[in-house]
Amino acid sequence: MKLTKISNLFLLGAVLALAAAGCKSKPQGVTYLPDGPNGNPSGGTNGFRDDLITTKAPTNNPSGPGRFGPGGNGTDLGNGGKLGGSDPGLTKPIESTPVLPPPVIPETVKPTPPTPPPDIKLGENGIPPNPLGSHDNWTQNPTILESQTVYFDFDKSSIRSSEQGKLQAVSDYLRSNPTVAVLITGNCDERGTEEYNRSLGERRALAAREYLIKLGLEAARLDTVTYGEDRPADPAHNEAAWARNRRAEFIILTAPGAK
Amino acid sequence: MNKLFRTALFASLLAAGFVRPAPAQETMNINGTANFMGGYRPIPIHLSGFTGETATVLRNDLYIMGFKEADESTADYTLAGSNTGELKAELRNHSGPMLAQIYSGPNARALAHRLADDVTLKITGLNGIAETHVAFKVTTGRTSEIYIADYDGFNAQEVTHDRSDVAAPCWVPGRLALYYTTYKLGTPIIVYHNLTSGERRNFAKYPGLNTSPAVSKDGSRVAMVLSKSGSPDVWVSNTDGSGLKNLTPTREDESAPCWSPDGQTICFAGKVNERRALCLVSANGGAIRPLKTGMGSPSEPDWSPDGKWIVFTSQHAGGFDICVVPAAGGAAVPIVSGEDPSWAPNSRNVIFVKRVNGARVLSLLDVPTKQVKDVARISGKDAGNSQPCWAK
Repeated sequence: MKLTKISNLFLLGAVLALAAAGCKSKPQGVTYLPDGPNGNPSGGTNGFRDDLITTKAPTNNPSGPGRFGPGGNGTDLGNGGKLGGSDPGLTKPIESTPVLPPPVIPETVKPTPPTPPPDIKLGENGIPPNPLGSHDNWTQNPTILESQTVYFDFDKSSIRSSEQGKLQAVSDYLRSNPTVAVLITGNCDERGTEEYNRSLGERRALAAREYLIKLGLEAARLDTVTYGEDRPADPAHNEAAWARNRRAEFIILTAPGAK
Repeated sequence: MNKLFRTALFASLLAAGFVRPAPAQETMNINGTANFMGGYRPIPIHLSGFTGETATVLRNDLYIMGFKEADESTADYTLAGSNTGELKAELRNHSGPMLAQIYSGPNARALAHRLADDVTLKITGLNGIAETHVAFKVTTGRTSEIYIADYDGFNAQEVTHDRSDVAAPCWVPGRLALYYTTYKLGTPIIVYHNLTSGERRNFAKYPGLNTSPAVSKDGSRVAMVLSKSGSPDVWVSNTDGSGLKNLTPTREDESAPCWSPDGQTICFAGKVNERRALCLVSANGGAIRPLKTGMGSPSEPDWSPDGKWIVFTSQHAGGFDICVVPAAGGAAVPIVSGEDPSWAPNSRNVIFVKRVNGARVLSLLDVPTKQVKDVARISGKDAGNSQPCWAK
């Protein structure tokens, strides 16, 4: 009776294993739900192993006495193996963990319609950035304001007094060209860890944006992005290069169809 | 008989992904922090009879897990066997045989990895890491992609193919799934990617920066860095995006959150009195407390799965060091030059990034013995390999 119960359990386990293994043979297309955080992560297994491996204690003795023998006097062979026991003489069952299929790579991440920029609130935390897609499909021109690139001190995101004139020039340009917008990119030198620099670059872009807002520009025209240390202006590994890489650039955005 | 059935049932459930092997009881004698962190003698072992790739893999695995090869006369253990056809091995210590096993299967690397793990478990009582996996970022030219690979860099597979920038891959504990940052849409957003089905969906797409996802051990919550409030802060939400909360509403920039294994606390890189520091905050919000490390400019903390240690990057004029500090704080110990560390599931090994002539390579560290071995670089000699995350 007990044996039957256990056998049933085993059957159930085998069926579940088959079901799980079956999933991998038909990778699904990608579904993107609308905006923002969505749904529970589902599916997935912890089946990491690449191969089906059978392990067993040897039944014969190819190398003379004492070698590959099942157990030995006074030795400890009974303690926890991966499958809950590795006694000599016990054949470990085949581990049929699902093999990792080549991941299905979606063609694109589905863009979502632009949402109107939020009301600007000057909180103690700073001014909220513009939403993604505020200027989708606008043409980028990185050269118009190239000479107004603002540079920063090491590990700092405050606007140096030497750079304030450039921000005034950016402001003047945007006032003279009321239909354009600008993408402010925040960048760092390589002397920092990657994610630290991604946050620092964000603060640099937001600091330049905040300065422009205080000069009277509309926040909705001022997009920001941080590239951290991923897009150095100068790939060299020296002080001069680092100084050129700690920067915020201003890329002019022009609406589709506009001149 | 019963035991055999139990084992079979366990194996089938394991295969189905419903259960994970229980971690081996920790029997390694770790006397105090100084001893654990770089003060441990490698275990001398003598290998004989293995050839070719099997021998290479075995040597590599055992070295990374804290062994060193020794003459038969000076070794504490001997591992003898052969790999013509099946892989046969016998492990002995001075008092006799400890393990005798035959491994068969189509892939010599996989068999050798399994043997290395069995040897490690038998000798140290700790689960090996030779059959584990890592995710990381590969930069070529002006774009980067997410890859996954065996822990030693072999069998690498491209996960993304967006020709864009990516960052900060993070495994979902116990699942074949990642969260990571992508610039595919222009600004950085966090996506969830199920590697079994290929499904990918937006997870965090708020205004501004969305990056550095970190999933709690129970898989129920995600910590991340968002700048939607106006500056980069550490936020936490449930995996469906609900319950979003700003844990660090400051003007400063925070980065790189990680979870304590009990899911109660988040450690991150922040600032205290305008100086860079590791900080702790309850995952439900509350006061931000500094974590004492005694090291300058710390960042990129990662909490060990056993809850005891935090490994992080310390920056100084000459570069970066991988340091380990007790999770309660204290005097951190610099272990090796490098950055962006990620613990292995055994709370002993760490994968991290080294800069070689400005380009990044991944490297593996055994914290107690300070033994280090570089991972084979993916995508050619000019590619950068960085931001590793060890699957747990």
